[in-house]
Amino acid sequence: MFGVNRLVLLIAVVFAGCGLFNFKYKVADLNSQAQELEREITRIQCDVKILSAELRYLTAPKRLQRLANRHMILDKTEVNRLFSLSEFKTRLNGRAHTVRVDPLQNLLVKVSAPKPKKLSATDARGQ
Amino acid sequence: MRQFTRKTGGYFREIVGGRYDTISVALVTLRQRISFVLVCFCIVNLAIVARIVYLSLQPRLSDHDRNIIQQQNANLVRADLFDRNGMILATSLPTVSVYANAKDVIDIDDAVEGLRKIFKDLNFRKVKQNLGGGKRFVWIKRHITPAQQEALLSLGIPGIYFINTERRIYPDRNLLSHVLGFTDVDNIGIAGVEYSENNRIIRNSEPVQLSVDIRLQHALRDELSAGVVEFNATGASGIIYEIETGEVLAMCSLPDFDPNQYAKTPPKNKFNKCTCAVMEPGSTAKIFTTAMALENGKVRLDSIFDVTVPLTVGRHHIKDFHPQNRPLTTEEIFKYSSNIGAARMALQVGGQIQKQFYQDLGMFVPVRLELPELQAPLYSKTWREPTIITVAYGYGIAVTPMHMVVGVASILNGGLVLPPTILKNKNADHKATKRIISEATSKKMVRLLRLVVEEGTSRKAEVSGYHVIGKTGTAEKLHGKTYNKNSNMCFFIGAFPTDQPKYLIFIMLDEPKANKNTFGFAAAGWNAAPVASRVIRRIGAILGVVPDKDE
Repeated sequence: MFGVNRLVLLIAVVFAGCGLFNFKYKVADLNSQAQELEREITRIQCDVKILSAELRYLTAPKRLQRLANRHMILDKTEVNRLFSLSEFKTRLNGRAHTVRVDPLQNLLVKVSAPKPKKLSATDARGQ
Repeated sequence: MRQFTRKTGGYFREIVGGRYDTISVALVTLRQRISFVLVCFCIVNLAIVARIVYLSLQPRLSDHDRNIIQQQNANLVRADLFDRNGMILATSLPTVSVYANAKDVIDIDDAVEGLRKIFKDLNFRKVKQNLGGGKRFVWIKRHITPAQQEALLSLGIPGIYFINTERRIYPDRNLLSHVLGFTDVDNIGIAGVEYSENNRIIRNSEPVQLSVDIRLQHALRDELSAGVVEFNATGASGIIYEIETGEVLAMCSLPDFDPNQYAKTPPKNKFNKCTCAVMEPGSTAKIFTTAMALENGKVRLDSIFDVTVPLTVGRHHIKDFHPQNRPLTTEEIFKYSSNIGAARMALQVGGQIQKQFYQDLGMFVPVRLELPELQAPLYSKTWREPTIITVAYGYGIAVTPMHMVVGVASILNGGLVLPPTILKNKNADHKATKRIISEATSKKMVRLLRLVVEEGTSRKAEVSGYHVIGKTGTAEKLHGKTYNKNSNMCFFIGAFPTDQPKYLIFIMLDEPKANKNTFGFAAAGWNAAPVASRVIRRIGAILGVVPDKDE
């Protein structure tokens, strides 16, 4: 009887040991994966930061304006060309669409800009 | 045998009943030895099992791995700065820095020679001296490029190591230099928002969102730079401010600097004229004088003042820049920017009320803005008649542009004093408690300011469709103890649209010169006002202000 008990105990110890090692290695593997993922997240975060910074350099207002001035004929928005959406719809409905114009072509073709009006002497008085 | 039994005789007598048996003695000895070995074996095994259990329950991270993760996390700790629309204004990028452990360096001359091949701009004498000192940590170079790192690795100099660091980057370079400030080599904020919000930026991983809008900032800086060139000014500053919330939408001071290279910047470029430069506000102070007089009730819009005779203060005579040579109403005094009229209004109200009014506007203390670079105003402690007169038309008190902006915003928003802020939504829950003037007086002031743009000295600030309101001011600069007539500070402070003034614009040009387009004039109406007009033209669409087409 004593021998059987010993045998059962021995088997239980062996199983417990194996289970413990199995458990330990699983935990260690998961830990390793988590660590790898953590590294990956940090690396991607760094990449995102670098890309965001690069994008900001590329979309810096000064650069965009320089490129627009060089490649397009966009001018500063004149106040009289601004409408509210409701006003725009009214204007659009009241206009007959007879000619279709390619808007891109309009942007790319150079046109002569109107010359700035010179100040007259009458404007000068009273300032 | 005798010798053996003599030693263990007592014990054997108990076991074998007093008989000296050679075999029995040998067996007992063997059993003892086996027991001893077994006990030793068990102890060793138990120790091994205990160690295995201990190791099984420990994470498998090595010290080296743990250090790497900690270092990576620790380096990316400075939060980004965003503008009000979520555009990055300042960010931190991971970089690599080089250091040396002098104790691990085998040959200092060889090491320095190797470094010389990669880093041309290094102070090699200092490096050699530091390495010679035997220090365990000597900075070689911070923030090296990947190419430099690769070259250094290929050289394989013993004792040279890398460390992960981060570097603060400002993608817009000069655009927001005075607002953002900069950090030192250890990434600690030492100027601007980087300094004032340093704790929040370090502790919080969430980005800090500012109230500025880079589109407005660009438009403002662009037009100010053009104004500086056109009028040959020595500098300029400008502010775009939301009247209802007290948020600064744009703030520019010229000359400015690139915060990425702040060490190479001359000190005068780091000076923020918007919050640090105190200056006499000139005729823009008449906004405060008139509002105070109307609120007090002693002066009405149709009250008439004699402005035909210059006022005399001591040996000085106060004259008008645009003399009308007839008595003027309050409305006309404001429209023609009469110094004499403003002084007479202030005298009628009295010095005590005037001083209290300026105090309520916060003109005697630095503005409460989230920037470290703030300057206290300069004013006379004794508020006698000469002070009353000079302050009325914008001399005798020197304030920063931000003071003027906050003061005028308080007058235009219905009379409530709201502290300015550079952080988005900071004032969302803040309710202004101090009332400086009534809503009725505020409306009168809006009408008067519109009159100045329609018919007065600020006509060049007009933008068709936006009904701009505003006032110009030209103040002579003090050189030593005398004012220099050829050295002016020109201001325009105004707002749009008139119906409900929402956005306030401040423009200042430092020492602008007359040119043929200004017909020889160097007054604010000829330089600051048109610059303001151009700014409003550009930002109107960005701010979504629909122009009035019925004008």
